[in-house]
Amino acid sequence: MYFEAIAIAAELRDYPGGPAALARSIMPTIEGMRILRWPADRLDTLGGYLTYHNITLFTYFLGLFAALQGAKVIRHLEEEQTMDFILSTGVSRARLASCRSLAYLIYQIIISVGLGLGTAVALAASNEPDTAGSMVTMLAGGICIFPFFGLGLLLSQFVRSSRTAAGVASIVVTAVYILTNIGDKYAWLTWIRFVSPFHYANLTRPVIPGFGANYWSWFAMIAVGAMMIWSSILLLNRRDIHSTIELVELDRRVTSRKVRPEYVPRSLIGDHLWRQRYGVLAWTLATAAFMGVFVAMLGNIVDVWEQFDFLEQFSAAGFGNSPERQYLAMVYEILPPFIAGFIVAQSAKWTSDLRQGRVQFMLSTPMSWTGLIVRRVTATLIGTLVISVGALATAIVGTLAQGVDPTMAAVGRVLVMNFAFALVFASLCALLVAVLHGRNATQVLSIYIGAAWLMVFMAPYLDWPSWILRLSIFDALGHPFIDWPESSNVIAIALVALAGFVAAVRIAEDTSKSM
Amino acid sequence: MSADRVIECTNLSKDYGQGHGLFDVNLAVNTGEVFGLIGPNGAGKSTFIKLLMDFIKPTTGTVSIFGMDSQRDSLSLKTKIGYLPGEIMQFPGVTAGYILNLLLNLRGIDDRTCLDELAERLHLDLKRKFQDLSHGNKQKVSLIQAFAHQPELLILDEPTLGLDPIIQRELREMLAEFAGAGRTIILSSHVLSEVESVCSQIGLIHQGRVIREGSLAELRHSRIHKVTAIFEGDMPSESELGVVGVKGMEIQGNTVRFEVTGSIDTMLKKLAEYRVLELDSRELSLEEVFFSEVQG
Repeated sequence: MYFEAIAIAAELRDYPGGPAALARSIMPTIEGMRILRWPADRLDTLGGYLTYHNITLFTYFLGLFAALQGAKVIRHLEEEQTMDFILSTGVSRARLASCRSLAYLIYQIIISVGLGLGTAVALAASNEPDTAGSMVTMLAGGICIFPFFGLGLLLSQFVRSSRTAAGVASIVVTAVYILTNIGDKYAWLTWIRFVSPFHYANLTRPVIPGFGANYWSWFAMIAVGAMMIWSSILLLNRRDIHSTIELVELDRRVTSRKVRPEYVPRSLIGDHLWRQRYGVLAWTLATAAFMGVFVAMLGNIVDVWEQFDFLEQFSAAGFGNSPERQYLAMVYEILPPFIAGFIVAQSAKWTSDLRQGRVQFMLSTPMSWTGLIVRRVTATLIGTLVISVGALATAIVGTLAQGVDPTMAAVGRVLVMNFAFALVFASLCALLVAVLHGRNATQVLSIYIGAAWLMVFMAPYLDWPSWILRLSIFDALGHPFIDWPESSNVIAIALVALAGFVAAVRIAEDTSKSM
Repeated sequence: MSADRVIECTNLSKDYGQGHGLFDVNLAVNTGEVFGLIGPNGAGKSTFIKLLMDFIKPTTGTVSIFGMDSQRDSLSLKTKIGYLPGEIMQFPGVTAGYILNLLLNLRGIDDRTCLDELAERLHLDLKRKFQDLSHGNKQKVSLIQAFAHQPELLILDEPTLGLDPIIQRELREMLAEFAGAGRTIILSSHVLSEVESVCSQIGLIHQGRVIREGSLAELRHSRIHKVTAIFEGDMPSESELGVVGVKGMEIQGNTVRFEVTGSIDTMLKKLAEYRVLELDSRELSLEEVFFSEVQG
């Protein structure tokens, strides 16, 4: 946001016709992107643009984070078997849930303050300081989405797995976010503003000139969040630990009905894929939906690419290509971060395999550590292939629907290079998991992925030396929708993949197979 | 190496630093033996078992199993070994049957007769989700996977963990049948009575070293006798009995309790100098041997 604020401030200053003309020119595109962000007010000001472009998204991610934390806050304790210990000390369920919720609220406020400070720094760097406005705007984002925490906690009382609760809560948060964005376009959707925490968060935007804060909405959302937590505690008090609320009376009769024979894969690759079939499906749907939304905005968005010079630098394709090709290149470059996310999630599973004793069982069969790593990486690559094919097919259909040639050769390049990307990143993941022996491997990988992805966008814009880009795995991919990467990059990808895999195997062979 | 030797460890060490690990283990297990490893928590029992399984690499020394190197021939050996880890694994989202069938599939075994028999024998419902099983039932899954491919050697780390007495007895019978068929078992346990009833050979590990090894009879060969004597009138003093190998003397009124290592002949002659009303002498149980060795 810091860099973007500087760039936007320059655009507002230099745009022919001034900030108002710029705001008018981008409005059609912004209308086309309603599904992603809303509301957009005072786009002729830096505060207005950043609120629309960044702060709205921050609030969405805070909402998502809140829902995930709510889903985990009690259920995860049960999954980790620590709930029994805590309750056995005399701490009541109500006290446990309320204390952990309060701790989370404090945590969320700290994050919001951090984001507020970041916004303040970005504005100050662009010579439009507004520290108080930044802080209040972000605090509203943090506090008003508190009901989502309550939602996650409430949902987790009805399902046995924190992951299921988190998944359902994420879908609800995303749906509420999207519906809030487009709510005023459809008469049948006007009700959404009354129930959407995002709407209440948007009532406080003092960082935008002429807008203020609505502290009643803060109070109301805290009250709604507290009520949801209270309801969750009531359910928690009623239900069995490690179980769920029984919504319907269970049929406890013993029946002799035939149980369908269970499918059991014949290989470890099959096992990995079978047990994660819903996870792979969710990743595929999420990636496809994300790419689909971006492709759907193709028609509305290409105009703005010609109007903002700096966007060409952010766009993957760079100069010399048509806006459509630039935009599609950028859309297809959404795929690698999703693939990286999937692989990082796999590495977390590898770590839990070790921690939860499954590795010992696998290795007690005639399977070597090398064989285990090969099978894991192969299963991961098959998963990434499924995700890629699903997302690319969606993008192709979306492109065709808008009467634009999807250029199948370019899509083919994207598929091949994303597979190569998956191969090299899976090898690096295997290496890191082996080196760190599971500890913090996922966190390190996540930080690297975030930094490597941002680096590709930031380095050209900030004139960073080219060697820095060499540290980014995304840079090696080049822009496959436009052209094949340089041969040196392909060789580098192959070498890193091979070296990473060999090193992972060697290190893993020499380390303990149990925690 | 002897023809019927199944496991042979030579100068085996795994040094974790700061005195933790396993040190200079020289140990042999022969065909048909049931070898019990006993020792306090953290003594090195699981480390020893993981070294046998090639899950961890030794700092020094070698392990030979069925005449093959435990590291070099690890994969071949695992077709012959059934292994039960000391920790209960977690396997969310799948049934007990899924896990057991998967592990048999990974071994390339299609025959499920043994699996079904074992499940019936240990009263395990294979259709239940693993995560919903009790601690004891999860242990049954681990036990079944160790037996299901009909190995030649069983390596079991705390096999009775969480099992109820009925299943414990069933397991003892299974182990006896296994050994009776000329196959070999090595197991670790804290339950000394279980080791005493099941094992033909015993190794006592303490602070990473095998401090005693042999059959129960051999462990008792040092002839530690626990003696209780009730006297009328004068009693021998501690210094008098000390010279005849008596240790840990306790006096309560006219009752004297002590331990004698080695021959009790000298001690009996010394006692004969006094008027002994009652004399009770018995060999130490494994538990008493254990405490005697571990606590000095």
